Amino acid sequence: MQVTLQIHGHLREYYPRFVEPVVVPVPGSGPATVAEILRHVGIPPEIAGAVYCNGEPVPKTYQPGDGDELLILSPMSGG
Amino acid sequence: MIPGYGGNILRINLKSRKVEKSPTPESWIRNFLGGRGFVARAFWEEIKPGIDPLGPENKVFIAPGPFSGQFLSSSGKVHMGALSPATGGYGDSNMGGHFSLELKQAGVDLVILEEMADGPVTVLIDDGKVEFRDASSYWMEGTFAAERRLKKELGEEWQIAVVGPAAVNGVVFACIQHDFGRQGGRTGVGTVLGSKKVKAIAVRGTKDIPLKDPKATYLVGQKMMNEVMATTGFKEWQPEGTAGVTNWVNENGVFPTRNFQSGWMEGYEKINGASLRSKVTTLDKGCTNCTIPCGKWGVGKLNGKEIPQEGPEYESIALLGGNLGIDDIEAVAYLNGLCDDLGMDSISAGSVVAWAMEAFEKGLLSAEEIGRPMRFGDAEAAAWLLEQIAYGQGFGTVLAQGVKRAAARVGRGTERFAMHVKGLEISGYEARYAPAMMLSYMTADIGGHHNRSWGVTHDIATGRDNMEGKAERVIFLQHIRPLFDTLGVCRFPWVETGIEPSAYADLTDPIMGVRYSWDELMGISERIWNLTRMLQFRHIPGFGRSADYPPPRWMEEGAVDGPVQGKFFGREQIEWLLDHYYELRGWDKDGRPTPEKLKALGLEFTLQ
Repeated sequence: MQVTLQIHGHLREYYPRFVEPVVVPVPGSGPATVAEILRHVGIPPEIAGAVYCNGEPVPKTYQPGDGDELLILSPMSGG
Repeated sequence: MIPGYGGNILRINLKSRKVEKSPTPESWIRNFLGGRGFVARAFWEEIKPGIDPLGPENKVFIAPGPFSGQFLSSSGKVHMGALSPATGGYGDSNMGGHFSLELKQAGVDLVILEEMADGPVTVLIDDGKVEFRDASSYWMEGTFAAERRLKKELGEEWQIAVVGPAAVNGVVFACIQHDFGRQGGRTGVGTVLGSKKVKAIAVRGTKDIPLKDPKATYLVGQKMMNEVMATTGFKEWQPEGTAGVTNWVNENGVFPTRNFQSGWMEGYEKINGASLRSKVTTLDKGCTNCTIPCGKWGVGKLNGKEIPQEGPEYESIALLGGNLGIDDIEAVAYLNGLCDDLGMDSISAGSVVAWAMEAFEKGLLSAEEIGRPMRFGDAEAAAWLLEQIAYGQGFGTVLAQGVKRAAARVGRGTERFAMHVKGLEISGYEARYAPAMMLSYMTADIGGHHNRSWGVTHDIATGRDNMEGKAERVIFLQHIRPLFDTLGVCRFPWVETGIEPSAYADLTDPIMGVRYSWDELMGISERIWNLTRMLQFRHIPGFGRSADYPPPRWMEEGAVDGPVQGKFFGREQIEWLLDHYYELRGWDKDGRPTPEKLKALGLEFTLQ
């Protein structure tokens, strides 16, 4: 099982591998949460500003399906 | 004509009504670019040490940048500054909207307002010609009504900057309001304008801004706009604007809650970006040439009362929401609209109200002293107190002097939770366990403000317990972020949509006729940073290392709950951070730039 992962915004500076969409395997044998997938590829889940799965906002506890596209938004500095 | 510039400094004496126009010095353009650079450079030249911030010798400086109003994404920024009545030192603020475009098209690179008018006036700048109009009849009017009145009287094409009752009454954190929701918010520049009896500045410009290569400017600017709108994540970012970060700051324990007692708020989801979008926002609103309108227009509501307003953006959600323990987005929007209409910085206003709430709940201030009970979560009480402050009534007169002075006056240990740096109230990030963010606040030139450096992502990406690399990151951010204020553009296309900073260097030649590399632009920003540091040494008695410490709460106690409950850095680690920061900057142990550093930056004049 695998998903596509891409980062948007200034977090790309820390994780340049994900500037463009990257196909990553889901850890373990079954479904995993967004947080578990991020941790598996070396991204602290708490750094993700927001997560979108196939264009819809999802919590970090969401379990994406095979082939889903995850977009990680950087946190924003306000005002 | 100098490409990219209006070409003139406009000096307006409010007492004699004499107006002088002089050419913008080429050496200033070369070494300070414009915007924040011009404000700081003119400040050094014009403001004498030891003067009263609210006296006739203080001046207000307003400067667009070379990119203001140009055909590139989000070019609607203008910078303003004055000797701050809040901090006693160099103060400045940056404002969006459409004021900068008109100023540039009026042929103006810097406005200097000096002396004091004999009575309330509105200053009209019409293509560089200046006219004064009596403002007595609307001197005490709220900013929304005053701006509407002037738009009706002068015409929609005029852009208006206006102050409200807070400035008239000397509240030290009064702001300048523009476009019904954009502010020059911080350090009390609005207070200084009010002290000069200027109710409003109206500007209209019809001149072309000269460009070295209009076609190349168009092509490069259009490419940037297209890239911003096509970037992955744009359509997800835009609907909530800056309010979208609320979930994240709460998750990471950096959301100011109940006067920074915590960084985590139960019920945060009731005041987050999604709540704002679903309950308040009816219209997206942007600045000149903006492709990513972050402004959210809607109606604030509180107990049957309504205020149409812009926002609240994240900082107002933090300081008027979480920090007051208020979990109702319509009420937060109402308080934000109230601050805007009264003409008060919502960050500082939220901070002084939060301090009063904590003091009341701890029994250090009584209901009799304040005028009524003042508990966290009570939006009606907060609204009442905001009006007391702006109209100079009761205990509001104490809070109107800012949290540092209010705490010093009340005493009783309330100084421990007066959340400021250098007398400026801290903005929307609880940073006691986020070393880069805390250092950002500690060393921000104007005081506790996030605009100069926003290091909290770096803290989480590189480890919050790890001090290494934090000072380096803060210095980088302190150069890159204010550079946008110097160029006269918004930083969001870079920081939020990922536009490469080098794109701005690519625009220098077609706009200004001088090709700057990105490193050269960053070098100019470092020059300005050291200049503002020297300004603080010049104007604030005893200024130095002691001014760079965070409030006691951040050095001595952990957050009361949330994901980083109990965590903070002690004095020893903070001293190490400062030592390392000063060393990297080329400053001495007291935080003063060394003569060698100043000479290397071309700031020899500050040594005289």
